Amino acid sequence: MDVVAGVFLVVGALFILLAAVGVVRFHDTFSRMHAAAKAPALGLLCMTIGAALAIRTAQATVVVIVITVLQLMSGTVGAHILGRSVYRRVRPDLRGPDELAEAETETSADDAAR
Amino acid sequence: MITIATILLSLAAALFMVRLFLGPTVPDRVIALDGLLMTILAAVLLSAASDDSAVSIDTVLVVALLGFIGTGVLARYIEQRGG
Amino acid sequence: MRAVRISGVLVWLMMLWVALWHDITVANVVAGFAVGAVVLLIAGLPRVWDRDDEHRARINVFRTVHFVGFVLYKLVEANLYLAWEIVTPQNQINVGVVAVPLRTESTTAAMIVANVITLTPGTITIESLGSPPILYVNVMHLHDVEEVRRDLLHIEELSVRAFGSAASRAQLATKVSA
Repeated sequence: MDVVAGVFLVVGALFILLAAVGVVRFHDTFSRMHAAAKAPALGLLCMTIGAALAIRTAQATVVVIVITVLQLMSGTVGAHILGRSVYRRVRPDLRGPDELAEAETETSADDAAR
Repeated sequence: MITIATILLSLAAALFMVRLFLGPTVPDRVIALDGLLMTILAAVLLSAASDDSAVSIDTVLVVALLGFIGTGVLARYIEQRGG
Repeated sequence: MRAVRISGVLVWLMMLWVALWHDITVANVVAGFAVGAVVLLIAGLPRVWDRDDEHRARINVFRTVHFVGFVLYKLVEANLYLAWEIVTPQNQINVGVVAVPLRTESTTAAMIVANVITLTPGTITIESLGSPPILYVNVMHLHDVEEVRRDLLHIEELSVRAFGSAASRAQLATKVSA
């Protein structure tokens, strides 16, 4: 069982390293946000499973489940808030189509016409 | 096994620090800081697993919640003061 | 019915308290109930519980399990995709924003769908405007807008089928068949 726990821990650390490499290597703020939002979530999930398997008490398992659920939700919300403020303020130029900008210009045109 | 994971996490922490130094805009640094926080959480979990003690796992819970609030506050700062 | 739900949450809070203290004693259990009651009094009972029958969530167990499995699968796929993206030097990155008009009006459903979108490969929800909410999603590899929209609407469909209220399911049915 300790071997299984060790495997989970190593895999979790690997995913976090993946996130770090992505954050350094990508050339765009938004892409780095993608890497930082998804990979640590899974990495921490694996590490919590590994830690729970290594410490085989009931309390540790309960706390680990709570951590996992809260971490998943708060991680995604944090990425969303950050993405929103980056989009509004920093305005990196997007190469692809931007439908939020279209919707915003529509509503501002409506307001101006009224 | 634990040593391999420790080495991986140290590499990850170093890379996040690189982005913390470089990142041309403030959001880049916020992302790097968030990643660094996750790495620290992972390191705490690793030490709890290697010492076989469940005491430090509560730290992970608290730091995860507070870290998310910190990211939100920084995001508000970016929105109001610019990158 | 309301009393049953309140006591359910109280028991959950007590268990949380006992788990944090790592020790199941009588003092901890009593303290757990007390702290739980204080928290509920201060934070107020959520308005979720005043919903009538039409807006209450109806949980379909099989579909919920399928949904949770779907989310986990997508999370793993997202990370494998990220790994592939890092290793291969070619640059498929074409960042754009896609509007996803949701069909149901429930804010809880919008929240769940927005969070799951953030966990799926290459997408992060940025903004949500209007009612019924239109989610604006930042996509990393944007080559086919309609395909992305269809995939994300499929997520909404899966979640409503898993634990949507009767009103949400009705709204979904009318739009899907149209």
